Amino acid sequence: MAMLGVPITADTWFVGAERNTANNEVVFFDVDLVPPTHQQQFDRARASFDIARKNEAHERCRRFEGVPAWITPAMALFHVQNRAQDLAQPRPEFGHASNAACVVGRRARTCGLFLDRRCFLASYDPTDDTDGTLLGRLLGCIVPVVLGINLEYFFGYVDPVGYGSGTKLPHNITGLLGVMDGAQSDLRTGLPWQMLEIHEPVRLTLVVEARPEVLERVLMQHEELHRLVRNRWLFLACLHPTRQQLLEFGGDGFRPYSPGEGPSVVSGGSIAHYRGHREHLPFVTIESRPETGRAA
Amino acid sequence: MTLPSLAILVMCGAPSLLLLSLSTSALFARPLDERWVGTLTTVTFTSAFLAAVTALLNHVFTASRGVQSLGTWFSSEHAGFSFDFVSDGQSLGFATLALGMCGVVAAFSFRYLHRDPGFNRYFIQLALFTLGITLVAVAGSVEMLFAGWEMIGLSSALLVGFFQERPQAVRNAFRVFVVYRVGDAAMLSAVVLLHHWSGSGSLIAVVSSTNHARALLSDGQAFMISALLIVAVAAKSALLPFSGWLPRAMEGPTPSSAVYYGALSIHAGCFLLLRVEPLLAQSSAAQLLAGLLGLATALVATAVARVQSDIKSALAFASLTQVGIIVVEISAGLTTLAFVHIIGHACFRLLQFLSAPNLLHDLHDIENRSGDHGLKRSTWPRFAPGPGWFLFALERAFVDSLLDRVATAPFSRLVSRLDSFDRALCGQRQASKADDAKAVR
Repeated sequence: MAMLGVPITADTWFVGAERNTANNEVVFFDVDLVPPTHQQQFDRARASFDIARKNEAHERCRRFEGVPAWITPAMALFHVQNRAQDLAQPRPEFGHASNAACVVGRRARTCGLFLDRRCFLASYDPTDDTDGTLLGRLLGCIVPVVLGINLEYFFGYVDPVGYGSGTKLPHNITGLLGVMDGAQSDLRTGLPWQMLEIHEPVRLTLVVEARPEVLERVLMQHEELHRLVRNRWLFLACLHPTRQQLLEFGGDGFRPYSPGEGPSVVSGGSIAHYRGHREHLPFVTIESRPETGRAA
Repeated sequence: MTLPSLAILVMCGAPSLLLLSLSTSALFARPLDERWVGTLTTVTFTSAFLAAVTALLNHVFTASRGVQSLGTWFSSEHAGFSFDFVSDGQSLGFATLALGMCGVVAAFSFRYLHRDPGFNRYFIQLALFTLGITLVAVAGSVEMLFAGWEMIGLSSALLVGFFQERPQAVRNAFRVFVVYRVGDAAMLSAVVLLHHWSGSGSLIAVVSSTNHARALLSDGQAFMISALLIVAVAAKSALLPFSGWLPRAMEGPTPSSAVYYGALSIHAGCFLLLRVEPLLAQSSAAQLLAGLLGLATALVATAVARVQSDIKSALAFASLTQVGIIVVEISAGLTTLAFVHIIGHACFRLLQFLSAPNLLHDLHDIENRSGDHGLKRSTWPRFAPGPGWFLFALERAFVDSLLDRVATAPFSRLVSRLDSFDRALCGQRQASKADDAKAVR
């Protein structure tokens, strides 16, 4: 790691943690082993996690009908905690519903954007990866997962009976391994309608921050990736690492793409932008306080 | 108007009002929105429940029991129909339990059915059920009892077929409906016979004590009526040989399965048997019949429950086991025990059904906490029957195929024969008419 320019000094302490996406609980492991010298730093880190938990819960709550628009982030966290363990609640969370894009690149490029929980964000630094070996391996891991999720929601929405598992309400757990409808039916696989209803069935837009020639080489080297892009299972775009330029993959190569107007600028934090809205919102730049979208 | 009769008026009136307002608005294609349905249901169910609690407390502290009459529909020299209700410990206790549970399930369902296209329909049927079960609990005459009984049956079948777009659900709802009709026919016959022989439809006269019953009915008559009522109870509480419909009824939304087949509807039969226990006690043959039926059901259901692979069927047969035991208790004259058993079992099973969709989470939770896989082997010695028994249990004691063979098939054969006879007769007539017409010409 030191050779890569990330020195890990002897006094560095790692703490593992796990986040529950439904009730937004973050469990830190082996907290009792944290040395007293690091306790203060750890407490500070934990405090920022708490703020993130509240803000994420608040952003999520705007999509839940029945949650009033005026609630505070602290109340939102309380709400999602209760919601996650409510036996009567068929929508404990919306999961990845409404996902539309994935941005692979430096997080500084997306900093300050309100992405409405619709983007998967993966960190990747193109400056050192001149020949694209790292990018190839990274996309090989990311694309199957992210595209799998996207297509699962896509097909579940367009055919809830065939590819989804229909409404959750009559589901009956069978054999401790799956669900069927009512008294007898085939095993129902796929997402239930309650998780899909706010989804918008769009194909994934994959934005990769890399030079177009590097990205093209990666595509040539990875046939399975190329096939997905060529056959339009996803849309591929290339964000130039040094210029403010977006290029669109058009079957044979990259063409410049101009999005027209850039995102509008909103001041006063993302809450001011989404408060009172339940529908999909356009992506905007948040001016006053830099806030990032949600990590995948 | 006295306190008990006022309370009973509210207990029956509040669900009726809800039913009326929800169904009228739906009938004129102006279904109320979820918030309104929620408010109306909360207000009516809460007031009905509070009225039931008041009546029960009043009964406990003043020890008043008797018939509350809320008016007369018609009366003549020989017959009449008045709105009579019984207020005693059993009726008020069961009504309180039923209204409390319906309230809990309604509160559960607001969230569970949120945004479902059948939201209004569901609450109309739940209101109908609540009215039905309250009427069954407090009915003072067999006619009122029958009305409540029918409401339970109708709403039950409609909720099994709640997901109308799925053919399997509608098929199973139809099966439940048909089995209920058989039980209802028996019940109606019992009502008519009771009227005919005792000269009144008053439940109180017959069931307040065995001596009363004995004065009105001969032993043979008591057996006849009891036997018919046992058939009605067997259909409603899924005793043998009707048990096959119970797992099929698990097609509706989970809270409706919970309140019908875990908690209330399945016990409605037991409650009826409990009410007519003095009549049953008059005829030991009827007691024996009920006892054997209950015992057989309990034994078969416990075997079947053990091999079910899906949670709702397993729970259905597990509750059937307890229902069988309750029937045995009633036939042995242990009415207090049976009543306590009904209450305890209903509460426990309601919770179990409501948390059934959470089964896998619960299991993972147990695994996480114990650090062990949650399915521990029982420490009890195990009775390991042969594969024949396993098949017997897996096929749910063959009751469905048996019913199909000995009841449905002969019946449909009879109907098709009558039909072909009818056609032949009509055909001849038409032919001869045509001949006549020709002759005239």
